[in-house]
Amino acid sequence: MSLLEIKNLHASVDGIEILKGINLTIEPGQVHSIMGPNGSGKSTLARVISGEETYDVTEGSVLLGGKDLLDMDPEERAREGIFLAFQYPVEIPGVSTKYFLRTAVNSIRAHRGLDELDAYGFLKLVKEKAAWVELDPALLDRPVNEGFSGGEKKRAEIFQMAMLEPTMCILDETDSGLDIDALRIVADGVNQQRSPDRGFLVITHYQRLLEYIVPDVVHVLLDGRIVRSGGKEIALELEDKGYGWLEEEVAAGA
Amino acid sequence: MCIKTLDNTCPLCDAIDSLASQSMGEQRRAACERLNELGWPTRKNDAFRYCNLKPLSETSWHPAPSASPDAATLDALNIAGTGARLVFVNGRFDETASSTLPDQARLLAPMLNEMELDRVADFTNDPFAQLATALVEDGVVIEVPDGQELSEPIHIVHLSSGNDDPIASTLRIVIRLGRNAKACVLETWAGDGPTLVTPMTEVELGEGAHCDHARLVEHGDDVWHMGAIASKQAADSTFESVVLTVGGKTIRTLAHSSLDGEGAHAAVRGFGIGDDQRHMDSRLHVAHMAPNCTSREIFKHLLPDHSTAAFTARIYVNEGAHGTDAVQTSRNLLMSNTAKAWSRPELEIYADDVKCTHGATTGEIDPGGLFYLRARGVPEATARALLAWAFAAEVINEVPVADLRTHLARRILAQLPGAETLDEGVVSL
Repeated sequence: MSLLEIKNLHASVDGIEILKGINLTIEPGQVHSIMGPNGSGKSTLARVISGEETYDVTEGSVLLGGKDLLDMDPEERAREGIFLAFQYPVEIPGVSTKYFLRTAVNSIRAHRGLDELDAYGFLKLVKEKAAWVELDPALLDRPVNEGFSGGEKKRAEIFQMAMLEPTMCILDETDSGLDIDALRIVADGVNQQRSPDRGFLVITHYQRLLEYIVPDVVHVLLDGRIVRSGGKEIALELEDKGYGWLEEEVAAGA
Repeated sequence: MCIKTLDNTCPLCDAIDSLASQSMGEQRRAACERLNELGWPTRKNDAFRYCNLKPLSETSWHPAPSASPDAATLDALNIAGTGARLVFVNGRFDETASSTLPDQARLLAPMLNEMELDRVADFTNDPFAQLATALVEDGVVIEVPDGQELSEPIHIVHLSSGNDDPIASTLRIVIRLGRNAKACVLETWAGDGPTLVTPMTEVELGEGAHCDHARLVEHGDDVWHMGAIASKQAADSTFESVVLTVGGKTIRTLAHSSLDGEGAHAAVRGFGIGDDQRHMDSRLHVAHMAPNCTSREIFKHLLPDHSTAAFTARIYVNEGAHGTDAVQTSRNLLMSNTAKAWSRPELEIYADDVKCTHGATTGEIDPGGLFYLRARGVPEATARALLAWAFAAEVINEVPVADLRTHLARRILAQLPGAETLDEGVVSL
């Protein structure tokens, strides 16, 4: 069975259609990338899959391991295995990262029929996974994302992903605002989590990230539709020529 | 006299008359006359615009009877890290439940005639401050001489108890710190039954003195808590005050802070959780009378059900008070469609080179934060409680005394809507 199966997905916000019929299938173990200019609907797709209520899904279906995601609350989707690494991780002052993450880990474990982690087990896991993204565990005593640098926020997202062990990881412009060293650390963290039963959807504006996280399939999203899919050479072509030529081609074909 | 104009058989007035024959005769009568002139305020009085006092004015208040406190009730109010606990029941000292008075603290009752009260702020126009003076029987006077320090925080507990009739009582706390003296004074107001309390705390700080202060309002649901805090500070002194409201029917806090000496600093904070029909009314007045003083006011309310909160605050900057740095913040989190909040920041500035900022926001739980937490698998109810906690923690984390901070956090957690979805570990910052 496919890991993620999106069929003819239409979504709109305030009556304006953003996604205009997305079809996308990700098999276990695959890394797919979605590229596209600003406003093409990349982030909307990520948020619709994870269940943000701002968007109205007007048509189509999204299945995770055969289960209908669109019928689930965001927390249910997370427990089923969806993880969204946010483009702009939200700051939550007054709540320690550790407390928040322990709550999240234990809700997901409970759903999988596992025992709650005790303080010792949790800290052990934290130490192990934090090392993957070179994250100082002392950051976890700080409020969620508050006072984190841009790079720390993104590393913290990938760290949380490692802690929650999702089956379908969606990275929404995780490369934005990162310098080359931070980018490499984040990409290493992602690569460590690649496994035969886990899928990745890497949303990015630039080809750069894909040098580090090498995709199996690259899709180009334009105006709410996937207009081209292929190997990683598409990313290089886009880097070279921009999106303009594709937009013209699509317009000519329409 | 006074309240008799509203009810010809006013037992409270008889009590005030009888008190006047024992102590403070002239001052009591003056306060009573002033109260009579003012009458119980209505919404037409701008100071009570958001506060429905009709049920209060229609009640026939009685003097508070003598009563004994319940040990378990009292112990539940204890704050870790405090030294002496001084217990008052219905305005009167309860020796049995109290610890020995520390050296620097005395009871007010034997000194009522010689003690000069009401000298810190002018509350002539506030009927409840007048009632506080008319009705005062006892209190605590804390005087710390130059260069000395209270070794441990003093915890003053006022309990209203044993009333079938609606009762009125008050307690006076006077804090006078000498040059470079230091003290931490915590007040808890608790008790059930139909009660009107008029807490009054007067603080005078000498040069370089430091006072940490907290007022915890933990009354039952039918208590009118019409309190005031007056402070007056000499140069380089610091006043750190926080008012926590987790109980009561109507809670009014009138806080006057006068920064009289150069370089003085005052922080007046408040956090309140609404419940049912609870109304929280905060009226702050911070006067920058001297140059280079700083003031921070932050009041936040978390409002479920039909609860309401009003915040009216004025920063006054006197001529010549240059270098003033004043920040005033009011934030309300509405947890229901029927909760309401009003914020009225006011600035009155007669000096150049001042920095005065104010911000007021009223809103609901941030949908962005909610989605972030839920997208990580946190159940919606827990996510909402976490965000409500985050809202509270921002004020509490500013409180400089660690034990007090923890105590406040626990008290909030006990009352926080949805707190059953959180555990103690959340109080970790």
